[in-house]
Amino acid sequence: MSDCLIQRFPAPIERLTAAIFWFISQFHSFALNTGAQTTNQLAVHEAVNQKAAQLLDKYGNHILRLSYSYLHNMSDAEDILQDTLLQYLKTAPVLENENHEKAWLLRVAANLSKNRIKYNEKRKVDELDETLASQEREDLSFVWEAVKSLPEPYREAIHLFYYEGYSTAQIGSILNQKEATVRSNLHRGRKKLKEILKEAYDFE
Amino acid sequence: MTLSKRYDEVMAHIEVTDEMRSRILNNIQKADVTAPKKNLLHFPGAKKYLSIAACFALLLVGALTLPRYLTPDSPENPILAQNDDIVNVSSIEELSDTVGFEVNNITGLPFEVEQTEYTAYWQEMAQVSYAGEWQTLIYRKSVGEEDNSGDYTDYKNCINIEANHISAQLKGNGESYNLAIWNVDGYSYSIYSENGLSAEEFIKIIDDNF
Repeated sequence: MSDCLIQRFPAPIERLTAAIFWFISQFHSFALNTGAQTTNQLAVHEAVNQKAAQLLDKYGNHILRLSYSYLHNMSDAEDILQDTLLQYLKTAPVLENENHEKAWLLRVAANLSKNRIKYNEKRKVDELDETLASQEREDLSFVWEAVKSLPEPYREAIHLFYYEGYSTAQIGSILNQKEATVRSNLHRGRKKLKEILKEAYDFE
Repeated sequence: MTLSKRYDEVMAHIEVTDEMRSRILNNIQKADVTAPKKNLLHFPGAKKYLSIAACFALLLVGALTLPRYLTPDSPENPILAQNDDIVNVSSIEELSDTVGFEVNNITGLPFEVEQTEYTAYWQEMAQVSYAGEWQTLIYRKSVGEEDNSGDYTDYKNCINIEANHISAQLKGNGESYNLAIWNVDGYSYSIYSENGLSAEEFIKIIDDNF
């Protein structure tokens, strides 16, 4: 018999070897994909963090001051600032320009602040009161106490009109109120402030 | 110093400190806003259809029984309260009753009025809003002498006009005016025009109605 005898591995070993090679190739491919995904995720994280920092630097003080005007304490105001930024980052709203962006953020901050007020059982310390008192700025304490004492609808109209410089139409859009209502609240707010401050200040 | 400048000074004491900034950015990083959304839970088939059937049953029961319990407002004088302080009413007569002084409708407006709304604020200020396709006018009357318009816009143009023995001030930017204010006999009046009117148009309105 001169048939060439092809030396081959026994069948079970061949199958086992093939299986091992297949497994290794699958694992290699998986590792490559996972690496790519992880790199993508890191890039996205980094972009989000950068955006958060950008928003905080551009609008942080405005959001914090509006929240403080509702809540009268720094820790709640800080929470609202954080939650407002988180909302923005999660929702990724499509906004036309910077003005639109700021109005969007203030609208969210106002809504979150009002929700927080409902659930706040105990009033926390008003750090601004303490700061102004420690600086012996009775003139500013006087003004702050007067504005603080206004009912919320008047106070928010006063803050957005005089501090942020929004028109009554824009305030209506931020607070989801009719412009006529905003103007009425502004009118009443000014009237009450004049009563409290006893004509010590002019508005203009 | 004005109140608004004082208020600005007050607000300057509230600011994002470096510590607060780090804390917030750290928390945002931990919150991981990029995390994929969780999968929706699917109702098993039978439960889904049973739930839909239950909703329809509730709707049917509600539609049949609720009308018995809802008492409709009087068709003659429906009063729709927004809240205790701001009340929408359905006629000029009701508005006068609510605020306690006579208020009259403005006629001869230079546009076609499609909708009129009557609102009493805090039982002391009457407002009538006239809305047309391209123009809205808001007329207010209240006791006292103060400007009741609530419009504190810093207008560039201010002029005084005389109409029907009334001295009024007009305010606006550009060629038209958005606001007319005056007071007479212990009442304060204002007319706010969303898209502006000419001085002549304001004079005619005051002449014809006041």
